[in-house]
Amino acid sequence: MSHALVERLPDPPPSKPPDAPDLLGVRLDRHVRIHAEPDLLAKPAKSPGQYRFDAPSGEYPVTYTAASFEACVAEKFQDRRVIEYRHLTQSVSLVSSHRDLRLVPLHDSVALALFGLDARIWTTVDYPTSRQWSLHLHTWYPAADGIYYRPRHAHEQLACCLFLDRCRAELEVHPDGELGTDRDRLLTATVPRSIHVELSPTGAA
Amino acid sequence: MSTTELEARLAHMPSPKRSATSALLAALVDLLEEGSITVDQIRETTDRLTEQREEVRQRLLEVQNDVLGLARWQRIAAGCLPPNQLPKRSRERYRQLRQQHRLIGVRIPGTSGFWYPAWQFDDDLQPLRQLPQLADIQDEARLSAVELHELMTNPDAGGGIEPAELLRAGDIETLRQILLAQADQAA
Repeated sequence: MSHALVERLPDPPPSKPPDAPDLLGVRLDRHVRIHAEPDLLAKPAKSPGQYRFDAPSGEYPVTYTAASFEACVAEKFQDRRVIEYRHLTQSVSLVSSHRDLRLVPLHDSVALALFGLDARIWTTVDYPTSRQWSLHLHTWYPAADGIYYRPRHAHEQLACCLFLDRCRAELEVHPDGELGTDRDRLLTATVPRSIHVELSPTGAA
Repeated sequence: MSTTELEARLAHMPSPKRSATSALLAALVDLLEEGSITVDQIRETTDRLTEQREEVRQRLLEVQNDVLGLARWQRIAAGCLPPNQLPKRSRERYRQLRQQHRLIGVRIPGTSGFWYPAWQFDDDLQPLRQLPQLADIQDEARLSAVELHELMTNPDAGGGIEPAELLRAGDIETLRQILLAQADQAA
């Protein structure tokens, strides 16, 4: 990846920093995921990784959740500024955990500082480096179930990247309709963010 | 709600609203004392008003969404080359260029034909030679032409720079990473 225009993140150090923070216990309670694939827990690792904290070369599968429906909508559609009609059939799922998950606390500024990081880990588009951080955290913390962080667009909220190789059996998923099922819920999330929802098919290419 | 709670709530209202609410409450108490109205009737009325307010709120959201849609199509049209500035080519030639992934066209509701985003042309109004690579990424990321146009012109999507700048600079790999990450909620 060339970095002539895009700001780079610091690379992870070769070994775990001696004062690295402890894992944080978090019980997931109806975290939200919007997804096109049918079974979000069965999905295989992408190789190469595609999203922020994916394993760089598919070393482990992950899935992402956020604390609210609004945060999911923002992360998925804020940049494209529209939810096209074809996306309204995507599934909404609620994810809970049977026990406290052990998460690397990247949502916390002190923890970030101990890793030599800052809020850019949530916002960077230098995805190859954020994926390297994921791989290193996965290695440095063999008991970690995932990463707790703040989503790029809804950074007042919290989100998880879950390492499915370690916590899949601890998760419970309940369907919560489709993206377009509850029009009021959808517009309440999109209108304040100036995201347009195509409520009917258009002639758009 | 107890009388004390009601009084506390009234005390925190802005003065004009407090006066009006106090007057309304006094009138309701008079009507109740006269036996002209029952508590159930008052409850029915307030429930109906709440429902109406909710309907108005939902309708307002829909209207705001419609306005966002109009603004969006205006913005998209403004980001395309005006038809009279397009290089002179036959309609058939434009169709071939689109099919060969050497030009990206978008359709705008209420207009005929295709519109062509300006960022895909060089200073001489020739399509950038990197466009076939971009079209491959568009397919891989499952983006419509309109979604692609929105992303290419949105600096937020590129971490502070328009992804179209990456295209012009020939940094296709960074552009690919950015557009592929848009397919999920972890971009």
